[in-house]
Amino acid sequence: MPRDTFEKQVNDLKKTLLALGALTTQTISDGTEALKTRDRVTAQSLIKQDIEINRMRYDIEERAYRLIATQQPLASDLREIMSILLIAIELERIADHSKNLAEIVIRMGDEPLLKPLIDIPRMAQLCESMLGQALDAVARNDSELARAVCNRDEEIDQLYKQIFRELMTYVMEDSRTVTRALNLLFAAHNLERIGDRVTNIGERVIYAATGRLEELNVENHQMVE
Amino acid sequence: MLETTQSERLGIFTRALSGNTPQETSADTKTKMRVQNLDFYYGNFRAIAGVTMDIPEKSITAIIGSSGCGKSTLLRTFNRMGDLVGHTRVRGSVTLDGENIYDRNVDVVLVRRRIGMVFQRPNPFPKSIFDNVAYGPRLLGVGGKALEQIVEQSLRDAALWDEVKDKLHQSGLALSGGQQQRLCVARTIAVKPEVILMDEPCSALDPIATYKIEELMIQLRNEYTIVIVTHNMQQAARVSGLTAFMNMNPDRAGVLVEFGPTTQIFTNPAKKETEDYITGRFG
Ligand SMILES: Nc1ncnc2c1ncn2[C@@H]1O[C@H](COP(=O)(O)OP(=O)(O)O)[C@@H](O)[C@H]1O
Ligand SMILES: [Mg+2]
Repeated sequence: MPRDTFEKQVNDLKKTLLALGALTTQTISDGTEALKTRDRVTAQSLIKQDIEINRMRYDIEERAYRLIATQQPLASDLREIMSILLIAIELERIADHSKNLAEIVIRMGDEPLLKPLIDIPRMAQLCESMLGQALDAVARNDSELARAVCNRDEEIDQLYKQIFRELMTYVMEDSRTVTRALNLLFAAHNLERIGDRVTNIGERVIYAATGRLEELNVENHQMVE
Repeated sequence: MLETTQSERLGIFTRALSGNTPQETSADTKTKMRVQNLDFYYGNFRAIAGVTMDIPEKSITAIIGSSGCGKSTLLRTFNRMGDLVGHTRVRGSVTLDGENIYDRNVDVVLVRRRIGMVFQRPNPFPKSIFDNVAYGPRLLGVGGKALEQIVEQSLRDAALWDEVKDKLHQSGLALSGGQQQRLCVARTIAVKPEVILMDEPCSALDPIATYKIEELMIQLRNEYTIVIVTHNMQQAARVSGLTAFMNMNPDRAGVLVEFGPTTQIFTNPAKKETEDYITGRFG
């Protein structure tokens, strides 16, 4: 094949992307676990790990720019490299949301949780499982799988609305709970955003595989009323 | 920070959207040339087989494909330059504004005046810059002040005037390669053709000279129908509205594999053969 070197570079780039994906997936459960167990040590190390994740994202970005500048990729090559670049950015942002969970843990200190966590870990589990599937779709260039993953974002949004309403009833009953309610709401909000970003990853996979740019789950972008 | 008003920002936004390239062809674009079931033979060798394509007016159409697949041969059938090679035969039709240029009663000289050609290697005549451009109009009987005006206008349209206006009587061969190629464009447009065929016009030029020719083509497409054969896929992607991909069939005849909007050909081609060629995974 006349473009062996190029193909190897693209494959290596994709491997780095999947490694970044694996690290990012782990941050979701680490962040949630730290929140559940109020583990400030884990929270601190998660915040530190974010530096490494940012570094990986810039490495991928740089390599993608270099490929574009030196190889002038076209058609499916162009779509694949652009998708890798955009997915790396989504992953890095997902890790930022996990980092936000860690920061809530630190901020809350020893203050007791407003209520035992039930739906938040469920949201987190869904996010993790969706991201895992999305990364499989990336690895296999599988647009059908990507579409299936995106459809699951609805569940996350439903859980978020439920958490929102529940926390509001606490605040309405006793306004002194507002700070603790907001901490949990902020945690849920970050997980909800992760779901949206996984959907973005799904859209990139579909574009790379089919050349079609489509926005999925538009109806879910409405605010919670 | 740069201060901009809302209307300036909207202007910037609209310009970014309309851009100058790549050109979009709309449904109401008129067809300038129509190629139908075209076969071309060198003796017994069929170099082109069954090509059918419509070339829209006032736009740039690019033809890409590997060496020897018949791009130049096809381009030459568009103004009957192929007739100049002995033992050739054409089947099918090529129409210009609906009239078959291969009809018996068609004046070949007139066809070549209406459909001009710029070649791969700049080929100015060994004459002065002025005489190079004046050559065609003189044959048509133009002289005096009118001729001077045509020469100046053609050199301006070819984006060469400012560089040569003080040395019109120096030899065209003394110019740089890029200037020579723009001189050839000026010579071509001096007889006011309707279609300009370009066969790898930048392959002998450096990048800057290449960009100048591309800018020139983008200017010219407002008034001329341009068909360009190019090896440089980025060039096709930069300048053309439609792109045709040619390939050889098993008996080495050139066929048209895919023909469509340039943006689509370069981001999401319909045929695997096209994809393999433009991503360099060919053979
Ligand atoms: N004057 C000619 N006589 C015979 N065969 C020719 C002549 N010109 C080109 N060919 C043949 O026709 C085929 C297409 O050539 P050409 O149109 O020059 O291809 P391209 O421009 O795509 O490189 C080639 O196989 C070439 O050898
Ligand atoms: Mg050729």
